[in-house]
Amino acid sequence: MSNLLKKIGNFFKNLWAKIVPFVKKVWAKILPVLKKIGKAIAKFFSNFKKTEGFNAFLGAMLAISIGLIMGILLMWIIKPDNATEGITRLIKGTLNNPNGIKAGIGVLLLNSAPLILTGLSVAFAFKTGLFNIGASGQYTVGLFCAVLVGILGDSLGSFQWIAAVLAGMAGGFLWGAIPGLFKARYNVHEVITSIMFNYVGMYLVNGLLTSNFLKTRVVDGSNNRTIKVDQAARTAYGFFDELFPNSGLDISILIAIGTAIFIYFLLNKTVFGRELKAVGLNRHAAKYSGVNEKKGIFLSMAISGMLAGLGGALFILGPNRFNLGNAYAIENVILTPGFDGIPIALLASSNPIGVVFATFFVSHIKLAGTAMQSVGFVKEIVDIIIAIILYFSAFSLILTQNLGNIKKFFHKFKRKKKTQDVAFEAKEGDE
Amino acid sequence: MVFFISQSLFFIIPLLIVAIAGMFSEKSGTVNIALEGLMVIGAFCGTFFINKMQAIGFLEGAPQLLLIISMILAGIGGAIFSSLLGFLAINMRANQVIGGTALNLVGGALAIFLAKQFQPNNAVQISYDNSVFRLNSDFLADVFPNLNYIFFKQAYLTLYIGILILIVSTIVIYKTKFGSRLSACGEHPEAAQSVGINVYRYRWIGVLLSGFLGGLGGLVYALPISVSFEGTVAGYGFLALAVLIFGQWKPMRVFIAAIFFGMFKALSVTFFSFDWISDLIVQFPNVPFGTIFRILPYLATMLILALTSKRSKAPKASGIPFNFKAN
Repeated sequence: MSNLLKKIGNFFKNLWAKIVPFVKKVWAKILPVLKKIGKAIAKFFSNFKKTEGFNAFLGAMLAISIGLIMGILLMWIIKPDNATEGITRLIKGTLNNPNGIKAGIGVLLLNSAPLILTGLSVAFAFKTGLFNIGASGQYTVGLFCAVLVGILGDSLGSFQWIAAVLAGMAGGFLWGAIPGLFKARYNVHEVITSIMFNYVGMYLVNGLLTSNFLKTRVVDGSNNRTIKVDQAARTAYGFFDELFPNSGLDISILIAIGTAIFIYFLLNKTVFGRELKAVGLNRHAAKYSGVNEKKGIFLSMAISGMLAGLGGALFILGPNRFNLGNAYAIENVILTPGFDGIPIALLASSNPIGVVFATFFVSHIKLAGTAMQSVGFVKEIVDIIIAIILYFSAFSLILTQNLGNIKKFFHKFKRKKKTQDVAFEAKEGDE
Repeated sequence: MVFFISQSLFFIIPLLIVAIAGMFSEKSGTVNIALEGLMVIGAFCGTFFINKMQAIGFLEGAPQLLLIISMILAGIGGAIFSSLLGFLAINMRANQVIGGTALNLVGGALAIFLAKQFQPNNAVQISYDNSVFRLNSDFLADVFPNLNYIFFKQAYLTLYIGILILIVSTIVIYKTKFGSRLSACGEHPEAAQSVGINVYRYRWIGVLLSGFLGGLGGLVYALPISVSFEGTVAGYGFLALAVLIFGQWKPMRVFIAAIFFGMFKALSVTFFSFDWISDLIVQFPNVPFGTIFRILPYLATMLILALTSKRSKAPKASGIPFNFKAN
C-alpha cells in the first residue's frame, strides 16, 4: 500500500519536474507576447483618447448628461410631489414596459428601426457636408409609396413585401434627389429646399390619399387613416416573436442595423464613399483632384433620401403587436421621425455604427416620455430634453477638445478683457 | 379680390417682419435658421398673455393697448430665446445651422409643454378673441369702400407696425452709423475689428434684435388667421428665410418678396373666392386644386431661389464664427 503511494508520489514528482521547465519555457515565450498585447491595448486606449472618436464620444456623453440634468430639474420644478416617480420612470425608460424586460427591449428595438434609418439619412448627408433637414418629407413619401404597393399590389404575390420596400426606397430617393439637384445645379441651400420639400411632400401625400382614385381604395374613411397593408406585404416576425414576445418586433431592426454596417463600409472602404467624404471636407479640393463634386452632392442627397424612405417603408409595413399593422393618419402635420434623425446623427458624430447606439438612447427616453404621462408629466419634456441634447452637442465637441485647457480658460477669461482693451488702444494709437 | 388682398396682408406682414428679423442677424454675421422657433415662442408668449388678460377682462376698453403690450411681450420672449443662439454662435463659435435647428426643436416642444402645463385639462390650444383687435374704422368708407375694407375695417394695427418696422429698419441699415457697423461685422469682421468695432457686441445686438422682431412676427402671424394657437407656425419661419434670400438681404426687396410669397400663401386659403377658379374646380372635379394651391408657395419659392441663388449677395462672413484671439 505504502509502495503504491510512493510510486504515485514519485510519478507526480517526475511529472512536476517535467512540467515546471516546460511551463517556464512556454511562459518565457508567452510573456513577451502578452506584454506586447498589453502594450498594444494600452497604446490603443491612449491613442483612442487622442482620436476624434473619443472626443466625439465624450462630447455626446457630456451633452446627454446636461440634457438629462436639465430635464430632471425641470420636472422637479413643475411637480415636486411626483418628481421622484417621474424621474425614476425617465431613467428606467425601456424597463417601464408592464409586460416585462423582454417585451420592453422588443418595443425599444421596434421603435428604433425607422429612427436608425432617418439618423443614418442625416448622418450620410453630413459626411458629404450637406445638412439634410428634409428626412421627414422623404420618410413620408417613402411611407406613401410603400403603402400604395402594400395595398394595391396584390398581383405581386410573395414579392409584394420586397416590392413595397423598394418602392419606399425609390420614393425617398426621388424626394432627396430634387433638393440635391437644386444644390448641385443651382447652388440653392439644401436646408431651405429640403425644408420646403417636407411641406410639399406632406401636402402632396395627403392630397393624393384624399383624391378620388385613392380615397376608396387606400383610406379608411371612418378614422381618416390608411388601411392596413396586405398580409403578404408585412415584414416577417422572424424569430423575434419567440425571443421578445408581446412586443411586435419584426426583422426590420436587422435590416436597419445591416444598413448601418453597409453604410459604414460604403463610406470608409469604397472609392465612391471616399469621394463623397472628400466633397464634404473640401468641395474645391475634391473637384481639383478629379471628383465630380456635383454628382457627389446629388447622389449624397438622393441616397440620404433613400435611407429615410426605407425607414418610412419599414415603419408602415411592420406587423406590430398581434399582427395588427400600422397606419398613416392623414393630418397636416410633419412627421417627427425625420426630425429625430438630426439629434441622433449629431450624437453619433455621423458615425453609422454610432447612429445605432444613439438611436437606442433616443428611443429609450422616448419610451420614458410615454411612461411618464401616467404620473402627470407631459411627454413633451422628453422632446425638450432631446432638443437640449442637440443644442449642447452642437458645441460639446469644442468643449471636450479643450478639456485640458479648462483651467487656463478661467485665467484667460479674466485676462481677456485686459488684452482686448490693450489691443484696441494700440490700434487706435496706430491710426 | 378685396377679400383676397385683405387676406394676403395677414400673410405678407408677418413674412416681412420675420424676414427683416433674419436680416438683422445675418447682416451682423450670424445665420439665424431658428426663426421658426423664435416665432413659435413669440406667438406663445403673446397669445398666452392675451388669453389670460381677456379672461380677467384687463384693458377691455382699450384692445389696441393690450395688443401693443402683448406684441412687446412676444418680442421680449423671442429676444430671450434668441440669446441661446447668440451664446452658441458668437461665444461658443459652434455650428450655427445645427444650433438653430436645436432651437427650432426646443421652441416647438417648449410652447406645447408650457401650454399643457399652465392650461386646464392639459389643452394645447391657447384660444383668444381676435375680433376685438380689428381696427373697425369707418375712415374713407364713403369714398373708397374697398380701401376702407382692406386697410381700416378688417385690418389690424399690426399692418401699420409692420410697415413702420420696414421703414425704420431701412433707415437704420442704410443711414445710421449703427447700421453700417452692423453690416461691417457681417461682411468683414476682421476689418471691422481693426477700426475698433467690438464685433461680439454688434453680433449680439443683431441676434437680439432678430429675436425681438422674430417673436413679434410670430404673434403677428398667429393673431389674425386663427382663434387659437397650437404651438406651430407651419414652416413660416423657413418661408421667411427664403423671402430674405429672394430679397437679397435688402429691406425694400424683402418687402417685394414678402408680397409675392404672401399672395401665393393667401391663394391657398382663398382660391375658392375667385370665380374663374371655382369654374375650373367644377369643370375638372378630379384635379386636386386644394393640394396644388397648398404646394404652390413652396414650389414657387424653390423656383425663384434657383433663379436668384447664382448671383446671391449674402453677407460674406455670415455663418462664419468670429474669433477675437485668432486676429
